Amino acid sequence: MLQLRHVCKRFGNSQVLDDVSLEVQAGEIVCLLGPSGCGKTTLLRIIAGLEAPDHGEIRLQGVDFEDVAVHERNFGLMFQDYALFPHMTVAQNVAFGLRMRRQDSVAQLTSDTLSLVGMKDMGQRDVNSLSGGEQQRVALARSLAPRPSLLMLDEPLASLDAGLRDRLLPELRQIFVETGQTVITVTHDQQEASAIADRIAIMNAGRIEQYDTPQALYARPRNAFVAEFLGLGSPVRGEWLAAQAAVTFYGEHLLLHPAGMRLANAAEDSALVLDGTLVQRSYEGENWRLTVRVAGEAFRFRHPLDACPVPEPGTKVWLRIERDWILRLE
Amino acid sequence: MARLARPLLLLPLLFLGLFYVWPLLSILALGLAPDGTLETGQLRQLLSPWHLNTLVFTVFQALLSTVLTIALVLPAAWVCVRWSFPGRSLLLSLSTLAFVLPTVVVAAAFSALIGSGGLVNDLLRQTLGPNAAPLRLEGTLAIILIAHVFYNFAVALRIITGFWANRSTLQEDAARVLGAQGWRLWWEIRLPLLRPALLAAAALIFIFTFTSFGVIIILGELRFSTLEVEIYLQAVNLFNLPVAAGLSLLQISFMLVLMLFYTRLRQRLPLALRAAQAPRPRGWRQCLAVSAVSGFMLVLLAAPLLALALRSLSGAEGLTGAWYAALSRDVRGSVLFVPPVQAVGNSLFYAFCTTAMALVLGLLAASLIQRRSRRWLDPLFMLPLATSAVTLGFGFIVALDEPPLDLRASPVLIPIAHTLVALPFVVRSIQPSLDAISPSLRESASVLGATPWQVWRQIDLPLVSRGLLVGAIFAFTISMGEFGASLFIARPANATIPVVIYRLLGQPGTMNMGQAMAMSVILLLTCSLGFIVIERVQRAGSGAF
Repeated sequence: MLQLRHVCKRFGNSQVLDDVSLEVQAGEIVCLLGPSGCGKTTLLRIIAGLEAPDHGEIRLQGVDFEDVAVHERNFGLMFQDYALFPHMTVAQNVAFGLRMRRQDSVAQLTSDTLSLVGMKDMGQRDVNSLSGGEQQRVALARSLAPRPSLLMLDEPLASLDAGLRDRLLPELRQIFVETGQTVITVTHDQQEASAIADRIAIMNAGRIEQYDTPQALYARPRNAFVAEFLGLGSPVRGEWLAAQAAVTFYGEHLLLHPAGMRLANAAEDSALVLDGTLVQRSYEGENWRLTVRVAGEAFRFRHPLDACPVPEPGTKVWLRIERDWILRLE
Repeated sequence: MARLARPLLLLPLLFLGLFYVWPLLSILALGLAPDGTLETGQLRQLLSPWHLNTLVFTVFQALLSTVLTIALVLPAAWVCVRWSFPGRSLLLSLSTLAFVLPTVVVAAAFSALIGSGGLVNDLLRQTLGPNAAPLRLEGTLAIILIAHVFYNFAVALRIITGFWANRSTLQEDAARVLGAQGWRLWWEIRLPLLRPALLAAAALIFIFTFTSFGVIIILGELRFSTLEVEIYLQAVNLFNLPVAAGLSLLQISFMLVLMLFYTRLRQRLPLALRAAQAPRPRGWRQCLAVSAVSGFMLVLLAAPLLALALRSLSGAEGLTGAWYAALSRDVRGSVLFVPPVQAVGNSLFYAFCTTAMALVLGLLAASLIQRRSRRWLDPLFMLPLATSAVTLGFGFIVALDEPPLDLRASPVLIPIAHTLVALPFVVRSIQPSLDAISPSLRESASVLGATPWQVWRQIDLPLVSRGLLVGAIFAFTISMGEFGASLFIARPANATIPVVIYRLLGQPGTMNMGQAMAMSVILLLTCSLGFIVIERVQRAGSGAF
């Protein structure tokens, strides 16, 4: 439905977006994930029409959107600070977009949308008196009410505390799925991204590093940045691994994926076993979280409780790595 | 609106260029080259003993007023910060009201209190007999200084109490533990710590008294001449425009240096915070200090205004409304050409015009400042503050007297001059509310489908309405009370209230005096009303958003 092609944007000397291309299907929930300053918010603002790209094109259902003004795009954008209008009530905030687009039955749509976000009887409240979570719901309702063809959320949960965020996340996704809403959301928190999104675009320094489903990203990170950003560890060089295992491996960057790691009782043929030292262990309920050092490289992974017993830190151990989980990165 | 707005936004710049920059440039041309060629004889004439004396006296009275005001404010500020007592906020409001009163009202009030026919002299005659030596303060430096202290009390009080309320008492406590007390505590700790605030207050008072015009011309009875008065006399009475222009240049350069100095000092002061809750005074010494200081403030600030009100209602046979009734008749005939009540009508009309113009221009200017360069546009719109009203008025008659802009005879000039004086205040009232609007509010509105015009109408305008109201009242009261520029450009037929009060005060006879008092009371009430509304709105606004 939405296509971005080769979008570039500079602010002064810094290249904020560098040749970004992205495609979003109708009804899909896409998340732009990346560290702060990676250009994700700028990309959102360019799609909304609040900034103009230096190069590249934005198409919605095949139509070029370059010359369509912000207020004519029929998009929704929810700001990080919610940007509720302080001089209007909850209901007036939600009705604003409906009034601007001259839609019929404003009152009905307003109260429907308020019920959808669980704020049914709070229409007459002053927005300045709302709690953070309530403000978030009003902002969501305001963006949803005009049924935008595309809804964008900029760090929708960033200003809420962790507990509230965990409760709101599934709720948010459910509302989007129920209404069939096409959504692009922006966050720097990977748990939030995998909880809400069908597909995640990982951004770094103005580029999209990888665009995939959460599962695919985890199982097949494309490069070192993605692997490190998702907490899968740093890649090792082919020569290093060859020296440790007396087997030849080719490739500049190899990721030894933590999903394929265990402690081993003895050398096995089916897997690679390296000599290492247990540096750290912590108990996480269903498994151990271990750090094993092998020839200057540290590896962190989860080790199931029912697998082989875990010794005291400082002990020599064998680190077993499934061959299938040795990934070649770009 | 974006496309349509661009030329609109330039309107305040055009206004400033036409009615501020051009008149000043005309003064410059007239002062340096009256006949079209550069002449130094003109400037040398300024160095004559007479003009040098004027300059020396201007600086002298300003210095004296500044020192006197600061010395009197210090104990008051100390008491107001240190203790809370009944009537404290009333005293603070009263001092601020004094600051915003029109200069003719202040002059009239002090004539009513300590002038030769004033209340104090009446009391002296009643108690000591008809032959008692009356106070003869009119035309003396003393009455000028008293009026200046009355005027500038609030300036120093606000700056010093604001600074003090923000400071912790830690250093003071430390000094006390180390054995300092009494005057040593003042001399070695409090005053040195207060230095930035003292300097800023002193600089501001010096600026105000340096350009004092109404007080000196009315209460000084032309026995004293400051630069400001001399410009007026040379231009209007002697019609010596080149000399007036030279003096204006002197005035402008002094003011620029002073304003630069003050801006520097001001930047070092912290922003005023809400003062912490102060304790009640305890023990007879503290109670005595509080009552002495508040008694002094009450007498200084309230007595002249009460005397004015009383005088406006008292005739030879006790209470009378005759002076008010006489306002609608042209008793003097030839002196004023118009009955005083028409001046009230004129003033109201000009004040409404000024309010409308200043609001439109102020809103556009504030938007312009916000969108473009804050660095140089912001000080640009504050420039009229640094130019005395007399210089502005003089610039108007020098610059706007020939085609293509021959507005000398046009009554339009008065509201234009008032707008120029009010514009900095209006911009300053609107700017904070405009700045407080987060860009995401406007962006949200436009993503939700609001056109740029709708964004302005639905978001910006409602959110700056409070600032607009304050700006409107400022513009209205400034216009009602403006004296210096109006005196230059008002023709007899379109004289304003302050101009008529000045003319009435200059005439002998109880009828003229009574009418002057009555008109001053009308002006006093108008300005007080505006002041009360502004205080209310600003106080209510602090907690809203």
